Formats: sequence, structure tokens, C-alpha cells
Amino acid sequence: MRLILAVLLALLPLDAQAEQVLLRLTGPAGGLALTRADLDALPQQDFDTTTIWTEGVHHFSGPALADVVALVGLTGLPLRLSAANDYAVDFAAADIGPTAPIIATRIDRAAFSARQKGPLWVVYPFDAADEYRTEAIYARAIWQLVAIEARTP
Amino acid sequence: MRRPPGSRAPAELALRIFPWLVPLLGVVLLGVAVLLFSANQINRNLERNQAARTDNTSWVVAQAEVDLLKLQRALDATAESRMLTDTNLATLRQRFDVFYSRIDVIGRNLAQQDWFGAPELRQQWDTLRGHLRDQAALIDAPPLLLAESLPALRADLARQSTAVRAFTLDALLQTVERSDAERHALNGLLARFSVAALLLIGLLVGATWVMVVLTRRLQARALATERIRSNLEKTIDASLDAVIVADARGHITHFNAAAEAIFGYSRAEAVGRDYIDMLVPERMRAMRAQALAEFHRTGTGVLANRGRVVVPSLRKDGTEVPIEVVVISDRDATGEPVFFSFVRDISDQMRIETNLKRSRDAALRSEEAKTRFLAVMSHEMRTPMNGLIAALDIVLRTTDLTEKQRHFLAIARSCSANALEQINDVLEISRLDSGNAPEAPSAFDLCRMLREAAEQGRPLAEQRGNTVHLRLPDDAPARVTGHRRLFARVLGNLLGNALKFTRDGRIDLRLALTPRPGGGWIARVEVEDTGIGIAEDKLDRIFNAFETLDSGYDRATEGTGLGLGIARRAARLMGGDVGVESRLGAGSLFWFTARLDPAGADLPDTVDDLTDAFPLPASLTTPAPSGALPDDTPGTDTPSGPRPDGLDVLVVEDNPVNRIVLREMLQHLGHGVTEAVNGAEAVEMARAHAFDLIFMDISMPVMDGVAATRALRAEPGASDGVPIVGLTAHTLPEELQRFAQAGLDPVLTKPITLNALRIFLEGAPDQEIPPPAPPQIPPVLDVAVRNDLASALPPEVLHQTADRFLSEIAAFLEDLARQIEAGDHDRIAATAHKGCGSASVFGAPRLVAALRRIETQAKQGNAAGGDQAPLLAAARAELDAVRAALAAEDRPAIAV
Repeated sequence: MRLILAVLLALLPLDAQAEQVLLRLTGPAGGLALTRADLDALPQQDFDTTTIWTEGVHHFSGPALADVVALVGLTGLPLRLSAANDYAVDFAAADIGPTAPIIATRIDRAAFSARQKGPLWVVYPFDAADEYRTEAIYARAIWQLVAIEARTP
Repeated sequence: MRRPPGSRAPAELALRIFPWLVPLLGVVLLGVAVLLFSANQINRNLERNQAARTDNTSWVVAQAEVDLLKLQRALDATAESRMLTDTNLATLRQRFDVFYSRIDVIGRNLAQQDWFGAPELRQQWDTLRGHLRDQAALIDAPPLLLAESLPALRADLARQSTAVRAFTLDALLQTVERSDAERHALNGLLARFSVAALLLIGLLVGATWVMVVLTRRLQARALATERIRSNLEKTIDASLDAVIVADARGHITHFNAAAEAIFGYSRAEAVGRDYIDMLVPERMRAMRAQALAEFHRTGTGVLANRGRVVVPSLRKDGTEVPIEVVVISDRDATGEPVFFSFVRDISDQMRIETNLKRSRDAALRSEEAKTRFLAVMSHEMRTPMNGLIAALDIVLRTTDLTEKQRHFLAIARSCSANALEQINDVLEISRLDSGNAPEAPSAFDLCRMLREAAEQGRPLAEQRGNTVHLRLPDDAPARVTGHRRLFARVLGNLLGNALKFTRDGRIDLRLALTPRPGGGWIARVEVEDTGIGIAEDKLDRIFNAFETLDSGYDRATEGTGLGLGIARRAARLMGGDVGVESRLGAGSLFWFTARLDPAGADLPDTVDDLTDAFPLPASLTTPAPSGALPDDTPGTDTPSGPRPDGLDVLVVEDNPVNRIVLREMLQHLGHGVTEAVNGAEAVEMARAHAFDLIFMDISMPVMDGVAATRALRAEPGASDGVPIVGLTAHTLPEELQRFAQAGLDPVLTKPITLNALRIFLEGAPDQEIPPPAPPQIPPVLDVAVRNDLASALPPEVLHQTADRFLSEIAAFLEDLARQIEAGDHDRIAATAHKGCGSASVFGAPRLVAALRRIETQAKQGNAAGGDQAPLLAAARAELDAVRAALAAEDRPAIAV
């Protein structure tokens, strides 16, 4: 009986995960809860890079942060991004490029869990340019991202 | 190697002046390099800090405890609710995952920093990580199982919090230490950088100071250079000589005011132009351009550094001006050649020189004309004087005179002889002045000459109560070589003066011989008397020709006043001099010196009568007023009238006095005389009538003697083969030669005295005149000439003359051989010509012909270029023939 339950419970999250809300957006146009499917539906960006938190080169993919915030009209506003670990960081409008950073949904083409800083991680193509290898940028590479909202001045 | 133009950069010049610039520059560069290196290091350090390779370790590590606490709180909340709700479960799992992820991040972070070199830190982390993995299995278990293990998990986490706390503290401590070390390192780097920067700043300050000093020095130097340049330019401008400076290409860089004056160009026009185009006459430009090129190639030119050179130069107006130029080449500061020309306009100087030369030439010409006039006058006077003397001779000898008449006529003759002597002295002076020794050196016995002179002076000395003492050196050579006649002339003059100006006194004649280095002697003859002496103020003038002293020496006597002048000239011609020491009333010491050489074996000895060479006072040779004539006494003279053996003589002479005198003399000697007044008349008469002998004057109007003789020889008519005797005062060898060529047999030199005429004619009438030889082959010896000579000369003299002639011709032939070898045609011709003259006078026609061929060929010179050696050989053969013929002639002596 317990074994069956365990198997059920183990199967359940797979189903539930697809439906599970990964990111909550709060913008002037209202709130929006995004599931993995929602995020996958957005145009995808990807790149290979190392990070200071991982070992070796990895392939990161996911929608651009700009595209995500645009969904609720947060474009051009100062933002605050929050993580499951209660970490939060502020973004100015200028900090958001058209293709970088991305909200990585996959590392090496596989979804990743909270134990691997998932399931959503704001990632920059750190190897692409020096300007991506600064403390400020590292600070914005927020993992275990759960919410984005307009920052109240 | 020569530098190509413009190779010296100004920087190079600065380095030459300040050689320590290079190390200074090196030090500055090194400092800059150190500074740049340090800056780069700092920059990289800062960059390392900025482009952080790791996340903020302190934050990450500290966050572990926070996440653990949050996890514990989630556990506590679950425990309190006693129910494992979905929310609780989700929160619990999320908190666990966050903590799990945090520990992972910390591990990764510290691993990147090598765990700060602390292995215990790694162990602590490994332990933590092991626990977490175990706990993850519990958390991931189905909710029912999880609920069961929650209390254990709580306890486990509570225990774990202590370990986390310890780990966190350790890690933070290590972090602080690490950043401390890094800060330290950066501080050190900054300190080093500061030191380097300070050093460099110091260096730069130093370098700047040096540069300032340098610049000042360069400025000072430039100023000094400018001052020197300005001074030099002022000097050049003020120079009286034109100064032109040109660069290596010949372009003018300086052109001073004097140059403007000479050439007519202004400085502005001249500077920058090519001096060759501007100043060199067109015909010389190519040459000068070539010389410039040559200078660049070899470093030496036609003008440069050659001292003063006179060249024509071109003025602006196109006229040429002669300039004297000194060109000096040098190198300028960049090593390029520069030419300094110092130019002087010498057209004035040249004009003056030309004028001077012209004046001098004119003066010389006029001097020559005077001398010639004097010689001609003397010569012209000699002829009438001769006539006068001859006429007096005849009257004295052929006429019965009263004692009184005889006395006066003797005075007249004496005066005439004196006058003639003076004329001869004038002629002698001009001959000596011509600078040619009148005779070739010959060998003679010096001691004998002095003895004879003393002997001849003795009668006069006795007349005047004087004694003559001769002293000769013991070791005097038997014979010496020198100008015998000149020597005798000076000796006679000085001795004669001593005899004349001394009465009842003593005359010392001394000879001293000083050997000359290289052979020969300087002979010094002293004539000391106790006579009237000469005033001191006159001493330096008595040797001047034509100098007449107011009193004493010259006035006191009947001398010409030319004697000492002649003596001085003669002594100087002999390489010596004359001098005198005297005191008025106490006597005089006259001396003369002469160079004498040892008598060579080849030179003929000369022993002839020197009576005429000693110009002893007239009183010596003139008869005393009551005395007899020098030659025959008149009483014994045969009266005039033709002798039975008398010759039929034609006298050709335009001068009536001379003609009459000669006629009278000949008639006196018993010959028949026919007279002609010019050559044409003579030719006509001689062709019509066979004369035995013709006396032919040379200078005559209508037809002169030479032409007449030639005509007569060409077409003799009745007088075929007649001896024709030339009469002349011209005694130059060339002329004698001309006469001989014309066919004049012997030539008698005027004046002709009765005595000379008698000597000449004696024996002649009896001689059978030989038939003329066939013209093709002339005889070795011309019998007629030989006979004439034989009749004119005493046998022993004739003999000596022959010897002399032979050695003379032999010497000529030797000279010719040398000259032929040297190819010196002019000298060959001259020597052969001289030989011809001697040979014709001597009567050796074939030798004459042989020598003449040599002369002719030499005169034709290089054009003919024929080999003269065979001709010379022929001449030698002829000479041998002459020698043989003379030897044959010796035995049956022709002369009486």
C-alpha cells in the first residue's frame, strides 16, 4: 500500500509539474502566472557558457527576460526579481537587453531542479563579453527565480 | 668612402656635440617602461577584482546558516501543525532544496578558491554534503514516509546547525584572511608603482632640466656661430680682394662688394648662380666643369689649392678681365665641399707690366742702337785711321825728309796710332759687353806669359828709372787652360798702368794660384807699384768704362780711359774680377783674378806672339821722336817702281784713301797695280785681263766683293784661277765662311800694314799657280789656299795652325756624333757650319763639302730625317785624308 502510494506520489509531480506555476509576474497590466509550457512558448534563446557557480561549459536555453517582462507590460520599468531562497535583486530597464539575460529553463537541454538552482535561473552569456563578468551582473544572475514585479520607487 | 650629399642629419650633429644624450634617453625610456609595466600590473589586479571570478564568498557562506534556519523553521511549522499538508510539504521541500543548493554553491565557490588552502574546510563541507545527500533521500520520499522521518530529520538538522555554524565561521575567517592578503598584495603593488612613478618623475624632471640646459647651450652656440658668421661676412664684404664662395655644385653662396666691382654683378644676381656659367669665359666652361667633376672624384682640382693662378674671367658686360685667383677648398659643417675664391683684378697690373716691358724693350733697343752706333762709328773711323797710318808709313819710308819733317810726321803717326788704339778699345769694350768670350779656352804656359810681360815692360821701366820684380809660385803648373788673350790683356793693362804712373820706383808682379774644389785654380795676379797712387774717392770709379777722372790717372796719360774698363770686363768674363788698393802718392796695388782649368791633353797648346795682346803704352812701341821706325829704316827701303818679278795686281776698293794706300804699298813692294772702284768694274777688268792677284774689298757699292768674286769664279774669263784676297774689317767666323764659299781665298783683315802685306806677298810671286782642279772632285787640300797661308805665316806657326785645325775639326766631329745621336738638328747644323768655316779657311774643300752635306741635311731637319751617320763617316774619312795630306805637305815645305 505504501509502495503504491509512493509510486503514485512519484508519478504525480510529473503531471503536476507541467501545470505548476513557475513564475509569477506582476505588472501594471495585472498579474500573470507562467508555467513551463508558457515559458517554452516564448521565443527561445540559447548559448554555451561557463558560470562561476558551475563547472565546465554548459548549454543554457530559455526565453529572454525582456520577452517575459513584456508579457505584462513591465518593459522599461524598474524591476525587482525574487527567488525561492528569498534573495531579490533590482533591475533597471537598461539592465535588460533584447536577448540577454535569459530566464534559463534548461541546462544542457534538460530541465533542472531547485537543488541545481532551478527551475528558473537568470543567466547571462558570461563568456561572451567582459561586461558580463562583473559583480553587478553576477548579483543579477538570480537562481530559483519565482517572481518578477515592478519595483515601487 | 665619401658621404653622399646631405647625409648628416641635425640630430647627428647634436649627438656629436652632446654624446651623453643617448644614455639619458635610454634611462628615460627604461623608466617609462617600468612605469607602464607597473601600471599594467595594477590594472590587471584591479581587473581581477572587478571581473570577479567568484561570487561574494562571505555572502554565499553566511547565507548557509540563514537557509538552514529557514529549513528548520519550515520543519518546526510542519511539526506544529501535526499534519503534513501539501503546502507544508512544498515549503519544506523548497527550503530543503534551497539549503541543498546553497551548500552546493558554497562548495563550488570554495573549490574555486582551493578551499583557501585549508583541507579541514573541505572535510567539513564533505561531511555536510554527505548528510544532505542522506537527508535528500528522506525529503524525496513519499509524504507518508517523510512524515514518519520528520522528527529524526529535525534532530539531525539541529545537530547539523552546529557543524554549519562552525563551517561558516571557519570559511568566513579564511575569507577575511584571503582578502587581507590580497589587499596587502595590492598595497605592495601600489607602493612599488608609486616609487617607480616618483623615480620616473624625478628622471623626467632631470631630463627636462638637462634639455633646458642643452637648449640654452645650443642657443648660445648658435648665437656664437651667428656672430662668427656675421663677422666673417663683414670681413668678406670689407675685403679689398673679391671673395666668392661657392658650394659643392659650384653655386655661388657669397659674393662680396669687391667681387661686385670686378665682375659687375650685384650680390643678389650672383648668389645662387653657377659660377662656371656666370664667370668663366665660354671657351673654358667645359674644361672647368670637368675640373669640378674631377675634384669631386679625386679631391684635387685644376684651381683648388693650387696657389695663385692667373685666368681670364667674364664680366657681366661680356668683356673679359684677367684675374689672379686663389681657390681654397674646405668642407662645411655637413661635410660638403665649399670653395673660397680670393680674386684680384690684375688688368691694371698687367697693363703696367706690359708698359714696363715695352719701356724696357725700348730702352734696351735704344741702348743697343747706341752701342751699335758706337761700334759702327769706331769701325768707320778705323778705316780712315788705317789709311792715315799707312800713308804716314809710306811717306816716312819712301820719301827723303828733313829731320824736322820726319820729326813731325813721326808725331803724326804716333798720334794716329794712339787714336786707332782708342778706337780699338771702344770696339773691344762692346765686344766684351756682348758677353761672349772672344776666344775659346786654350792651353798656355802661365808663368811664361808673366815672364814675357815683365820682360817686355822692362825697357819702359828702365826709361823711367823703375825696376820690375817678378815673383812666381814654385809649384805653378807648367800649363793651364783659360782665356789666354783675355788674361794677357788684363795683365798687360795693369802692368802698363804701373809702368806709366811710376817714376824711379819699383814694380812688383806677383802670381798666386789657389786650387779650386773640383779641379783648376783661381789665379790672382798682383801688380804693385810705388807710383802716384789714386785718391780714395776715385777708387770705385776707375773701372767704369768711359769714366774720365778729372785729374790724375787718366788725365795724366795719353791712355784711353777704357783700359781698366776693358780689364774689368775681361776679368769677369774669365770668372774673376779686378780690384785696387791705393793711396794717393804712395802707390797702388792692382789685382785681378781668373778661373783657370788644368790643361787637358787634347787641347792644343798655343804659342804665338802676344805682343799685340799686351796693350803696353804707345811710347813703348812708338819710336822716340828722333828714333827709327819700328820695322825697316827708310834708307834701306827700295824705291818704288815695278820689279821684274813683280805681280800684276788688281786692287778693288771703293774707298779712295784705302785704295791709294794699298796701291802705294804694293808699288813700294815692286808690284804692278791696276785699280777698280767696285765689284762690277773689277769683274769686267779681270775677265779682260789675266791678273796674278786680286785684292777685293768686301763692302762696296754697285757690286760687293762677295758677289764679284762669285761672278768671277763662275765665269773667270782671262783671270781663270786667280787668287782673290778679301779685304775686310768683318772678322766674324760666319762671314769668313760666306767669303770662302764665294771663292775668296784668304781674307786679310784691315788694317793692312806694309809689314803685313809684305809677309803676305813674300814668296807668293814665285809660286806657280796650279791649274784649277776638275770641279767634280775637289782636291783634299786646296793648293792655292795652302800656298797663301804658307806665304802669310811663318813655317812653325803654319805647322801649329795645322795641328790646331786638325784637333778642332776632330772635336767638331765628336760634337756632331753626339748631336746626331740626340737628334738636335739645330745644333748639328751650327756645328757643321762652324766646321765648314774652319775647313774652308784652312783650304780643305772636300772636307768642306762633306760637312756642308751634314749641315744641309740637318737644316732640312725632321722632314728629310735621313741617316746622318754615313755623312759623318764620310766627313771623318775626309779629315783623315787631310791629316795624311798635311803630313805629306810637311816634308817638301812649301813656305819659304
